[in-house]
Amino acid sequence: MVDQPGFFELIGFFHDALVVSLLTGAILGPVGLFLHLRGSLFLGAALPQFAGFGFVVASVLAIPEWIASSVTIVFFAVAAAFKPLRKFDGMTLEAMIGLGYTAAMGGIVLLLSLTKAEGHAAELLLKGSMLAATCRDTQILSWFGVPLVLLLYLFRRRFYLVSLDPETAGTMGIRVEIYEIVLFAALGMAIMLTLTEAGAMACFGFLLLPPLIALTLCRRVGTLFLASMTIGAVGAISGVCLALKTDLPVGPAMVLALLCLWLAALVFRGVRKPS
Amino acid sequence: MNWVEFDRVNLGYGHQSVVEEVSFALPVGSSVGLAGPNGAGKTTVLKAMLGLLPVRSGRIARDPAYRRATGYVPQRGTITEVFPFTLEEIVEMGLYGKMRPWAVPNGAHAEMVRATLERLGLAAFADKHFRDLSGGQKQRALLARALVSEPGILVLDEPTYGLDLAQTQGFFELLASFRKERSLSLIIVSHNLHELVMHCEYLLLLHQGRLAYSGPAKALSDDLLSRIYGMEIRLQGGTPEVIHG
Repeated sequence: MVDQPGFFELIGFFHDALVVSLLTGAILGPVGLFLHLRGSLFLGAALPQFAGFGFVVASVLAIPEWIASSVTIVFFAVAAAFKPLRKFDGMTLEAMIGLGYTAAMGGIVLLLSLTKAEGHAAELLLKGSMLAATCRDTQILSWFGVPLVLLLYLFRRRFYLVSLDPETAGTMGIRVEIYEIVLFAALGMAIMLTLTEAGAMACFGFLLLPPLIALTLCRRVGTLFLASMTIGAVGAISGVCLALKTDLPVGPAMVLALLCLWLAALVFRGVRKPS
Repeated sequence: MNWVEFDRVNLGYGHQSVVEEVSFALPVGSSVGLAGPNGAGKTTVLKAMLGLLPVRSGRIARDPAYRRATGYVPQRGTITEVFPFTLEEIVEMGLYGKMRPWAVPNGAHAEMVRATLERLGLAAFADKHFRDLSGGQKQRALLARALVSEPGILVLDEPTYGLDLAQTQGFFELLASFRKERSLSLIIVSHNLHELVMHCEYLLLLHQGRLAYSGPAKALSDDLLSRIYGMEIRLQGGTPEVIHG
């Protein structure tokens, strides 16, 4: 009879998953902060679906995933900016994002059913494959994700102003359109880097919840960025540990961990005396 | 010397033309009101003046010395209050255009912010969240943000929207004192014609996308106002009043 590995043995065995999850949370958390500031959370839900659709197309056409998902994200951005479409009744920007979100999600399931790989859809959309993370995934996230976050941190004041009040930023001579393109590109890149491991649902969960928790706890804007990173990382690692302990899928476990952190933040905020 | 000149400018969005054949010149040091009914094109002209909207035809010339020396006070409601920005942080943003994108505000910047807050009577609220300020305080905060970089031109979009009579009077008094101290050129966009006639030297009155009047604020005629607003209006001591009955 084979002894079941202990929890800490599992942690040691899946150490790559822990590191990748930490990087995932630390990258997506601060990126999501700007979505909150811009009131564009729906975009944060839709973009992982677009990237996921690109991944599926890549597997069908046997082309690199980053190329296919970049094409689908850029295609979406161009379509959303295509002004003639807006002339039709009801075609607000939000409606177009929703349209794309639904089409991408349906497209993923349909395309995978055609290739008899429906199970992969569940992995991609819901569960992620964090436990299958390797040293190479850690390297890719480190090489591309860390500089991305550093760039956002270094230029955060400009991004805050451009997101908060683009008109005033424009009158100061700041090239608002360039910062918006960089932010959108950062969002797309962060999702492409983390989608396979986290899954589309957890991707959105990390864009939404760590900044929300940070906003609940922090009284100063100066602490929001680092708080979002830290909460993202803690939520991610907690989720992986929970999944290993309880044999649950990692993506939803990470979302559950973040939800628990959010509830704890609400309680803490409720009992904390106002300054 | 003029800081901006519009020469037969046409403006619009997409295929829709909003403003046509508008020509005027604004002298340095003047205070100008931009008025007109809803949909007349005030905000469109304002955006073009600020360089935020390209012309479809015509020419806008800005004196290079004043190109980057413009302070802008947007409508108060455009600032989202989701994030816990303090008053000091909001005002500090007025200096970002003069800093490198990655720069951290230093002691000199902090001193400029502090001095501006004191001048506007807001120093005691520096650490308070912007969203917790009163309407009048928020408007003065946005004015502080525009003034902290010491602009030569100040552009205000509906600056007294939502303010009561006392707050409005206080706001214009503050504006007048800054204008005198710093020889500011002012552009004020407002629905409130009375305010513009009382506080501006010149008036640009837009009607259906065209410039219906350009001249001294107090030289407006009853007939022109009545025609533009579609009701009988008389100017009583320089103040427009609607005649009922």
